Amino acid sequence: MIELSNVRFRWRASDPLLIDIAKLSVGNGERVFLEGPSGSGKSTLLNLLGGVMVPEDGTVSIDGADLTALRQGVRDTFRADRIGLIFQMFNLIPYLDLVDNVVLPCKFSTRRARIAREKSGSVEDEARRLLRNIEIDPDMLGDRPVATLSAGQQQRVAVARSLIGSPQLIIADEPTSALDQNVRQSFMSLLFKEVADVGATLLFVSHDASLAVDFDRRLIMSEINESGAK
Amino acid sequence: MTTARAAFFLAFKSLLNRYITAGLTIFAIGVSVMLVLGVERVRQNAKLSFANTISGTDLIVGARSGSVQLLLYSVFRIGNATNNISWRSYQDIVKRSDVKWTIPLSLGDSHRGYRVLGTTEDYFKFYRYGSKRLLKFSGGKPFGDVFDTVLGAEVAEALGYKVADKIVIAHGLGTAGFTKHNDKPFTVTGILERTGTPVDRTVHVSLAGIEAIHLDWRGGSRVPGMSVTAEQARSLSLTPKSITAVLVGLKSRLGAFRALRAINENRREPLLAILPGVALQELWSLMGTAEAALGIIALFVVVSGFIGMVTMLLASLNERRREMAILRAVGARPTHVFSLFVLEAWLLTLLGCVLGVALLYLGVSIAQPIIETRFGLFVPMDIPSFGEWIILGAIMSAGTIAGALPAFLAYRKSVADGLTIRT
Ligand SMILES: Nc1ncnc2c1ncn2[C@@H]1O[C@H](COP(=O)(O)OP(=O)(O)OP(=O)(O)O)[C@@H](O)[C@H]1O
Ligand SMILES: [Mg+2]
Repeated sequence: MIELSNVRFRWRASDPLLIDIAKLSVGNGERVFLEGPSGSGKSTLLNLLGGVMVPEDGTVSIDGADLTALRQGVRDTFRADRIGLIFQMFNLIPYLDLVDNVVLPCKFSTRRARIAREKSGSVEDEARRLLRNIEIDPDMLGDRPVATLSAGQQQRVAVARSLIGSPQLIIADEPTSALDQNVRQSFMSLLFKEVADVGATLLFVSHDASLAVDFDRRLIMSEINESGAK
Repeated sequence: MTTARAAFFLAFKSLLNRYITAGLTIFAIGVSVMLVLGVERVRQNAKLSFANTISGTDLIVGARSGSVQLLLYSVFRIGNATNNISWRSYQDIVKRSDVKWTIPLSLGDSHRGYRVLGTTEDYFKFYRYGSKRLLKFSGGKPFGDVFDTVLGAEVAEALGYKVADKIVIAHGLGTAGFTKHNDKPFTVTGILERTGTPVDRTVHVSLAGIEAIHLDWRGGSRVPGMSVTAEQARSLSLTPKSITAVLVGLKSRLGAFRALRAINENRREPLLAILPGVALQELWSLMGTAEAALGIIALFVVVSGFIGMVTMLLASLNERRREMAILRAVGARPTHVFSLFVLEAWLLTLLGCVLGVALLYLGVSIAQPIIETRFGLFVPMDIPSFGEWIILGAIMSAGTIAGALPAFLAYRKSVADGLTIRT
């Protein structure tokens, strides 16, 4: 699913290399835990995997397509179609309601809109189904501004959004760091269950090593990244 | 296509979420649009009604004063004559060999806010307006008797008068509480068709009628102990000693300049003859500066409305960086971020224009009667004219272009930040 080779990246030409990965590969349906200290370039790696940034060297392949060979617009469409992203916190757009937030990827990807519609009849119904799966009742919370949801609820909504339209790759960037211990546990089990349902590959970034146990594989940034970054 | 709809949807929701700032911005733009359109509408119709007020008259003669002042009181019934011209001077003009017709005008009295004009039947024969149109009666006929009156369309309509009604004329020009010539009521013999000119707001009587009601008056008040009844008045000589102005038609327009010079150099008393076309032009250019000033003010109001809009969008830029990263994450391109901001500016401007047009119609419907009675200008409720559509189009383009600045900054931030959430 993910194939990186000789990838080099820095934000500014004057910076030292931040990312220097000779090889990284993640198989289909694999659940991978990526850990590393703050500033080690984990989130930067997401920019590369999502095709938002391109490396100065090397190739980044997702699902067999080399992103570095594609134009920016095509990469953006590719990301919309194939990748579901979950951020650390404040994942939701404040002026959209619950369902509209979940439906959002379908507005940029016809493919995901089509798949969502095939599943539930309409993208909105698919959004509601996903929300119920992660134990959020859209009928009860639907009218509230999303900013009034608790941190845990917001992160679960973000999971529903990353899953709508069944993208093959889910990337989560420290999604649990704003959650307390109990909520974190139930969040993780829901995430695993939903990702398994869709059959997606999961790349989970965190510096909380205690979460690593349930994953198929554990990667450590300093081991895959040859750059001198911390 | 789908993403264009997405950007539109997001722009709409985002504005809806900030309804207070967005609403104020729309209001500011709306007011400016109303002002610009209002100025344009008044200008267009003022110009039109101006040119249409009088036609076919070659000269206007009055006591010596300013040509614009003479035009204003003789044709527009605005302001007052400082002096009259004597009956003898008038007769001299009538007797000139190059004069085809004259219409004497005697002003100074009013009826419930409408000016009373003393004149002769020639008024109904020779007075022309618009494209050389004569006055027509919608009912009745010209005045025949001393105490007959012919009403302009608006006077009759506003005050509900019909042919054969009796009205009382007030001395002077006030609307209420003035001394009235109530011992000598006038009978309505005719009502004129609407002309869209000051004629509509005029009460016409004969010169003899004006003379008759002033027999027992000297200056501004009734002569004590002197009272002339209407019946007595009829038997007296009712030739006026003076009139306010004369409209003159010449046998040949080519002689206008010669006649003009001759009258202006008249020895008996200081007279002023003017060419109506030239005076209208002069008056219009006077108004033109006011109109241009108003236009410039309106333009500045539009600019400040847009500055407010750009400020609002720029202010939101930083707090929206997270939103941009989320949008990028779900597949938005940097150009989507750009179009989101431009669309917001476009929507704000569009709603501002819609509000502005609504305010314009509200304003016109409220101000229409006031402007009409005060300034003699009819501002119609018509759908926007071609010129007004052009203005709206220009405002729409300007607003959208103004939105490109915050949009470009957002675009740049979005390209630089990528998926990194910065706050
Ligand atoms: N959009 C960006 N533009 C410029 N520099 C960036 C950008 N995003 C990250 N960086 C820089 O790249 C370096 C690595 O940051 P990154 O966010 O990838 O670290 P991280 O491993 O995700 O850390 P954390 O665990 O704190 O999230 C930092 O020095 C950061 O300032
Ligand atoms: Mg990070």
